[in-house]
Amino acid sequence: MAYRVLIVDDSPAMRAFIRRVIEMSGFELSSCFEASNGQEALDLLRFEWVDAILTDINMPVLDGEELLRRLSQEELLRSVPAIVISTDATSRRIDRMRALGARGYVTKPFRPEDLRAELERTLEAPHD
Amino acid sequence: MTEAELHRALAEAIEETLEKMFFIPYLEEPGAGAAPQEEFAARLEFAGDPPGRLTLRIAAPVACSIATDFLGEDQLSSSERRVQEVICELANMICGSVLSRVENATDFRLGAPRPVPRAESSRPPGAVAHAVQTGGGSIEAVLEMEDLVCPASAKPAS
Repeated sequence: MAYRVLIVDDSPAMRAFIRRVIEMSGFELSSCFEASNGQEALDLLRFEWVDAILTDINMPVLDGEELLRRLSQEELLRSVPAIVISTDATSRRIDRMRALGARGYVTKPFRPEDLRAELERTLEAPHD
Repeated sequence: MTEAELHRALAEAIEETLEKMFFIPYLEEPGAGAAPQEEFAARLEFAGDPPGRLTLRIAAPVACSIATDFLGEDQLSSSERRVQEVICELANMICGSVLSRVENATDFRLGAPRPVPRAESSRPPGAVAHAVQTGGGSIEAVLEMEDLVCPASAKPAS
């Protein structure tokens, strides 16, 4: 199965790295979209359906917390699984992002296989 | 937190980040009196308890090499801007990693990393620094935190 994935991060280098890791992990991607903040992601999601969203937290304009909050308020988008990829490894932050609807959480730095495992687990898990 | 504990957290954050994301597994501390090199540097401020900032300095050959590997691009096509983007992201990851170790009980927020010229990247008094040596040159991170570090020799009041 080929997946459609959206990567949300204000760092072009990190977006490129995540995309490369996904492709090298053997996931077949039919489309890989990129957004540099939460607002760009929401704008894109008005026109494009994706199977998973991978998002940073600290971003200008609209951050990852607010992105998850907005996604949960949209009937058509709340079922799209979101994985947070962040440098913040504190349990408080992880719990808060999960409470906002994150299905997965990967802390940077991560090994490529860590991201692959979280993506696999999230995409294969049944969701609403 | 003592200066020694903060230094250990910084060293672990650097080594974990380089090993996991850049596949640089073994690092040694540079010898004293290493010659100055052309370098890339990035800095980010952070809010937290306490706030502070982290500056990362990397010898140019190392910076170009790790940027090329990170982006999966040919060395020739990695422009200076692309190299600087990777160095900013590396600074971001090291800073987040060290703060997750030392500020686990509080929220912290990282600012956007930005390139800094060499003149701005000198080490201020009271900062904690850790440097490692790779085949192509050194990598050094300098962490400045307000009102946190006690000297290693300080003893708690009885």
